[in-house]
Parts: sequence; structure tokens; C-alpha cells
Amino acid sequence: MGLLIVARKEFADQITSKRFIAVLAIMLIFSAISFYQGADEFIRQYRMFESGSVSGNIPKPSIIQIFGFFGSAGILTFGGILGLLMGFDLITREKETGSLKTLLSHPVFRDQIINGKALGAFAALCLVVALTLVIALGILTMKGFAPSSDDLIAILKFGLITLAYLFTFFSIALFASTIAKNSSTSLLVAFGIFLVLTIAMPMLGGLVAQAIVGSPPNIAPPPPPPSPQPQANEHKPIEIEKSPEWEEYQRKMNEYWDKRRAIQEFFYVLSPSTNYMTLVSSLSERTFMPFQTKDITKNLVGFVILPVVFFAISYIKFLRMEIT
Amino acid sequence: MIEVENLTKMYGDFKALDGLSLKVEENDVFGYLGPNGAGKTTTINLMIGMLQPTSGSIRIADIDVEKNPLEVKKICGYLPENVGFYDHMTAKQNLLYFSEFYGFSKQETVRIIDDLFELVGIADAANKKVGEFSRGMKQRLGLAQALLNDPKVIFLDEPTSGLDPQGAADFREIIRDLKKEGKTIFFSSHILSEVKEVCETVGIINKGKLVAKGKIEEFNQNVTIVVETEPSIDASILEPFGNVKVKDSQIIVEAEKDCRIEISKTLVQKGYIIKELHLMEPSLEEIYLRIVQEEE
Repeated sequence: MGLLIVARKEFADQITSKRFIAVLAIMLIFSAISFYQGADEFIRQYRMFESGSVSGNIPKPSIIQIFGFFGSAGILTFGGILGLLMGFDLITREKETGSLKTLLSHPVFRDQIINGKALGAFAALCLVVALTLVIALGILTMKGFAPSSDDLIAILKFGLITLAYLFTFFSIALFASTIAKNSSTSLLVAFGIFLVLTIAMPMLGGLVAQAIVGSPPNIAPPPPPPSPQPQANEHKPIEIEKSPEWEEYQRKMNEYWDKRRAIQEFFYVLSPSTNYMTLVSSLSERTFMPFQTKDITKNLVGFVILPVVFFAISYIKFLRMEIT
Repeated sequence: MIEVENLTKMYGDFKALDGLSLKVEENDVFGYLGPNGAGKTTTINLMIGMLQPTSGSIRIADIDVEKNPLEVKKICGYLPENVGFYDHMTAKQNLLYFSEFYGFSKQETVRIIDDLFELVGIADAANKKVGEFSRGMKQRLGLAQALLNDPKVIFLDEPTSGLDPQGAADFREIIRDLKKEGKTIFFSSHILSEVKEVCETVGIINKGKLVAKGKIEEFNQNVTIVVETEPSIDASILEPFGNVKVKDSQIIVEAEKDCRIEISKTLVQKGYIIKELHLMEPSLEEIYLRIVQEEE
């Protein structure tokens, strides 16, 4: 019972807070503009595909393209900030004003307080995502496109990934709020982690990979094998005979890039923003993330583990906190 | 009603409470005195289940606080020092929120809250945001939230600090009324005159240890009687009653008990006119300082 009482109050506090409304408004405006442009491009490609005027093996355009790179980047930036602002002072403010002590003098367990706060914020984030999706669907409908059930499932998946992303930053902020002495320190800690995970971590991946693996092997590619003479009326594909030197060169280069990618990916999976973009991009057959690999398991694991770890630390810390 | 046994609380290497044992009877108003940092608030926080003791036990109405903190909170009310609320909510919304944890019906809650606002004198400000409240109003609201569940035991931590004289007097009046209703009150304060006015039993804590406890009158080991007569009296006449000192025209008698009637009879028999005959009890402040200094 205590959990739901706290969650209800937190939800009401969140959605009526001025800073929540302000950041949400900016995020929705930015997203709406991006979705509007994305929808134009998607409908154009979709109509071309349907009319059969697209040649080759180009896959059917995915509805996820309406969220596109810039739409996702808008959610990535403003959504991340929104998540941080929702959580950075949840505990510190209550300690500063003394309301936590008053609350704890009533029959409520501490775990109900922290879980209730998280649940209330999660419900508010659900509302944020629902609004984002409603805007996207509204734009599509306005442009005369009726999404199929597959499209709706893809949009729902996008919503769930976005919800997990926003909750990740909320849990980071909640973590900062439980370890910091006051709200200003908590804000600094939360934004520090945000910058490290979204900007520094991907850059660090490249730098560490460069430091460990070094520059690409300094070997000149062997001369390409002679091209076989095409014979008239022969429609068989041309097979290039590879020389042993050429295969050795390719093996060494692949080995180098595989090592480098493995190190970089380790850092990328620690970055919620990279994981978010990779996962959203993977929903579409025409990915919009450069150099994206097909296997997104690592990104998915990293994406789930990060909020769980931050929330678990906050939970333990809050339960052991000395409130004097 | 409150039984504390061998209670110790450590903050790292610092011993905030050191083997504290204490008993407060039902319907008692217990004054808890001590210098800053002596461990008063820590004791209350442990009693209300807000902190975990390092060792020792606390029972309130026969409920073990450590094992059943929620049960204890259901029968206790707590007004913390510098009580805090949700500033963006009105006074009524704050109390409605806290009352939800007791599972009262909506109708009952509204009635209880309205009565409490009347009791603490902030009925006019019930729908005002707490962020706009003065310190005194917050303190009154704090008392209302402490009484929300009609508690058997009420913990008040420095309840009148920040109140104006009228506010402090109102507070004392409410405490007396609560005592009449049969409540047990644990009252921590550094205002000794106030403790003396509302408390029957007093405990003095210093450096985490309870150094004295008892009824206020039990602390008065000696009494001082001031005598002035016309014509001036020979001090030796009063020597049978205790140690005698002459101060200007007055005689100061330090006696083991109040013997003003006997002194009065003697003076009348000897034909003196009594200009002054009064008792000078040591103030609680003097008792407190003496005890704390003895412990230093």
C-alpha cells in the first residue's frame, strides 16, 4: 500500500513540475519537427517501393525511419536531460527540506519510498513516451498514411527502447541523489555521468583501441590478381582467383580491425546513447547508424544492465542511509 | 510505556549513545535535557525506528522497535526539530498524504485534519502552500502531523524553538491537554524553564549517557530560605534550622527541608516583625548545570 501511495504522489509531483513540463515541451517540439521531416521521406520511399519503381535488393522502408537519426537524437539529448532532471533531487531535496524525516516518522518502509519514487517517475516517463508516439502517429495520419499492425509493433518496440533509455538516465540521477550531500552536488554528479556515458565513453573506446592495438599493420597490399578474360556469351559470375599474398594481407587486416572493433564495442555497450541509437536503428532494415553490426545482443545487455546497476546501488544506499 | 535498555549508537568511531537505559511511565510528560550534541535527537530517532541501534533494545508499549518499526510508528507521533514538509503542497495536502499511510477513510481523514488545524491554530492557512509558511506555522503544522494518528506516545524534539512567546505558550497548553487525554509525551528541549513548566519527570543526558533522572522536586537536595525582620535579627537565633549567612539586612538559611513555618513561629515568639520570609528553590538550570559540570 505504502508503495502505491508514494508512487501516486511522485507521479503527480513529476507531471506538474515546471521543469518537467518545460523540458518535455522542448523535446516534443524537436521530435515533432524531426518526425514531420522523417514522415515525408518515409512516405515518399514507401510509395516508390509500393509502385515497384525501386530496383535491386533494397528492403521495404520501415516506419521506424520517421523517427530517423535526428528524431532519435532529439530524444537522446532532451530525453536524457529530462530523465536526469526528474531524478537528481528526489532524495537530496527531501533531506534538505526535512520532509524525508517527517515522512519516515509515519508507517512506511524505506524500500517502499525509493521503489515508489522510481515507480512514479517510471509512470511519468511512460506518459512522455506515449505522447511522443501519439505525435508520431498523428503526423503519419495527417499525411494520409495508415500504419499496418507490423508498423504499430515496430513503433511499440521503439517506445519500449525509448522508455528504457529515459529510465536509464532517471536511475543515474536517482543514484546521484542518494550518494550526494545536496541537490547541487547531485546535479553535478548526474550530469558528469551523463557526459561520460554519452560523449566520453564512445570517444574513449576509440582512444583505448588505438592505444592497445596501435595503427593498422604497415604492409602494402599485394598487386591484385590478373582478371580472367571474359568470354563471349558466358553469363557465369566472374571468380577472382586470390593469390596467397592477397589472402595473407586480408587476414592480417581483418585481425587488426576485429581486435579494434572488439575494444571499441566494449566501451560502446557502456554508453546508453550508443546502445539506444543502435537498437532503434536495428528496428529498421535500412539502418541509419554508420558501421552498425547485425548482432545487437551486447547493446541490449548493456542497455538493460546499466539502469539495473544504478538503481540497485541507489536502493541499497537509501536503505542504509543514516537520517539524522 | 517506553523502555530503553543499554542503548548504544555508533557513527563510525563516534559513540553518540553509550549504554543508555531509561524508563518512561504511561501518561508521563518526560523532559529530556542535555547540551548540544549530547545525543537527545539520536535517542528519539532510535525510539521512533528511524535509526538502527548498534546495540541495546527499545520497547514502546511492549513493542520491540527494531523488530516492528511500523507497528511502533502506528502508535507514535513525532515532531522533529526543524520539521520539514513538501513546500509545493498545501498544509492540508501534506497531512492528507501522511494520513494515507494509516488507511483512514477519506471522510474520517478530512474530519481529523480539520480538527487538528483548529487545535494547533492554523485553520485559516489550511489551503496555503507550506512554502509560504513562517517557521512558527510550520512548527504548528508539525504538531498537527504528529497527532494525525491519535498516538499513544508523542515525541517532541525542541518543539518550541522558533516560536514566538504566544506560540510557545499555546504549545505548552496543548501539551497539558494531551497529558489530560492520557498521552505519554517525550519532550526534548534546551529551554529549562519550559521543561519545568510542562514536565513531571526529567532525564539529563550528557555525552551519550543518562546522568540523572527523576521527578523535578527530587533534584532539590537543599532549600534556601530568605528571612528579613524588624528589628534586624541576630543570626544565631536561626542556626538550629541550618547554615546561616548574613547578606545586607537579610539572613539566608540553607536548610535540608522547607522549615518556614518553624522559623515563623520562632520569630513571632521572640517578638520580631517578619518583613520577608520566602523560599528560594534552585532553578532547574542550576540543577542541570551542576549535574552536567559534575559529569565533565
